Amino acid sequence: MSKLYQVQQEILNYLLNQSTDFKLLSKDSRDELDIYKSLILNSAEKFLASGFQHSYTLLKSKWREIIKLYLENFPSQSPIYFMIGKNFPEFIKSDLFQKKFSYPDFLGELIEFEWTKIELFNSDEDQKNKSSILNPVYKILKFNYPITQIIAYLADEDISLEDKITTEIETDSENLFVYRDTENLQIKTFMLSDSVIEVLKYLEQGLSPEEITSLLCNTENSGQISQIKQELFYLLENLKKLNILIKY
Amino acid sequence: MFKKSHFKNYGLGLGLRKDLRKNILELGTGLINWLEIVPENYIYRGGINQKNFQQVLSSTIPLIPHGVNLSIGTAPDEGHKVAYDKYLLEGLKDLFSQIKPPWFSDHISCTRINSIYLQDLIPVPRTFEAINIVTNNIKFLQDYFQLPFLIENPSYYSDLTEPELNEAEFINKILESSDCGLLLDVNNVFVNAVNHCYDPIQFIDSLDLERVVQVHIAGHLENYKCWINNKVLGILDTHGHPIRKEVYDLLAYVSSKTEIKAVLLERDSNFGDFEAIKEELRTIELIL
Repeated sequence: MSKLYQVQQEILNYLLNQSTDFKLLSKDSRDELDIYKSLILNSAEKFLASGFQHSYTLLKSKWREIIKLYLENFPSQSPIYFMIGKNFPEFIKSDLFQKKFSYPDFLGELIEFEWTKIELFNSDEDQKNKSSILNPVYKILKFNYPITQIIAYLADEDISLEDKITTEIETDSENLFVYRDTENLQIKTFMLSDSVIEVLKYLEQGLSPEEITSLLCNTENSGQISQIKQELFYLLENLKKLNILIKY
Repeated sequence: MFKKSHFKNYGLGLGLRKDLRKNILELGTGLINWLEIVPENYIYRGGINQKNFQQVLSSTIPLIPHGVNLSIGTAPDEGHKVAYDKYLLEGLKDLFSQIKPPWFSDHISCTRINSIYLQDLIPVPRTFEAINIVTNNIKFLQDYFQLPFLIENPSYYSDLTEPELNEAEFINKILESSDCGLLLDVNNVFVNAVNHCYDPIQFIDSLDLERVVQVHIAGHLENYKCWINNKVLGILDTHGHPIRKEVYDLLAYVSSKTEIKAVLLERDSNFGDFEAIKEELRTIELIL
């Protein structure tokens, strides 16, 4: 094993706060490596605060401590900078975070929603999957909390930060279709019922409206085919207008 | 075999950054003749950033990539001759096939250890062993991309270990053994000269200036206080502040000593009024 390899292991261990025992690095380099540590954290704090802006509102008093712990335990393995946030939802749901910081119960879902937006904003799935019926840049999120309402609540400047942190929000399940609009490439969110999710799954499988109608009739055990067909066409038209359905 | 005469003259360029894109497209060519891109920002990426990039790509202005994550200073794992990230290289190869750059560059630094990206340019200890490792990595990259490669002298805040060579010797040895070109960052020369107490002119004179193809010029921040240990660093290389006269003087000095094929104004943050950036470009133009 080269000496350089061993030196770099010591650097990595120091930056990740795993060991401060230097065998090859000079003792003085501890202070100097702290400069790098501070610079790495400065950029990450800023980037993650803007990407996870609603979560940041709730966590800002401990933000530096949180980001430091996050980077030490979930360092990025991607050469692409925005991917630094990829494991943030997992970290927030881990014991590492949960045992050390106080937070509202909906935080894990809020962060998952925020990461999904970042991921879809940058996704190249549309370049890879050009024959898709549905908009290829999307994700369906099933939440126990009303995340869209929570975001509006967090953005309300008339409510104090203390209230935002302490007010208990009741669970109220929500299905969200988060996608990137094919026209302006901005991320949009659309609330879905369970039955619409089912329709989307059938569409993804390439089923025709007639086949979907037939399947829905079987599921619903209903003979009102024409009504279901009419409702389905109305739904498909709306999905087209929203750029959720792009080839039909 | 490296020959400066093989490199075309590109003149003055500016870094393509998201916040400057509109200004750059409006400015067109004339004051600037080429753009530098951070290639890692455009690989495996779609959406508005990719669309905007394609718009720039469809203009006639040449693009030259300057990487941050090739990590030529990373020591390979046991049993391997070189250290590289296949995912990154494949992404870059695809991008380079679109932009057809005349060369590419990255810093003499380590940004990846054990597959972990450190998100900063960690210095490489100046040892003979490191020269061999960096050389193998550069040779591999030149062969993989079939393009000339330039190494940039980085700013650094630590020697990490007892150096076996001084900075200029270290750079010259790498240039010679890997047969690559030099991207001389005159701001980094100034930053290092102040932080490590040496004469920047003497340093420049010690370099193999025949290998200089490209020059970077940028601004920096004085007296950075590290919040971890409260120590104050003389100068921090930020690319986010106006260029100081001493740095312009270093550009003039290098320009008087050797032919430079491309000069880049490197501005990464605190963009402010674009007129101020244009003014800096005009100052550089006058020097050249």
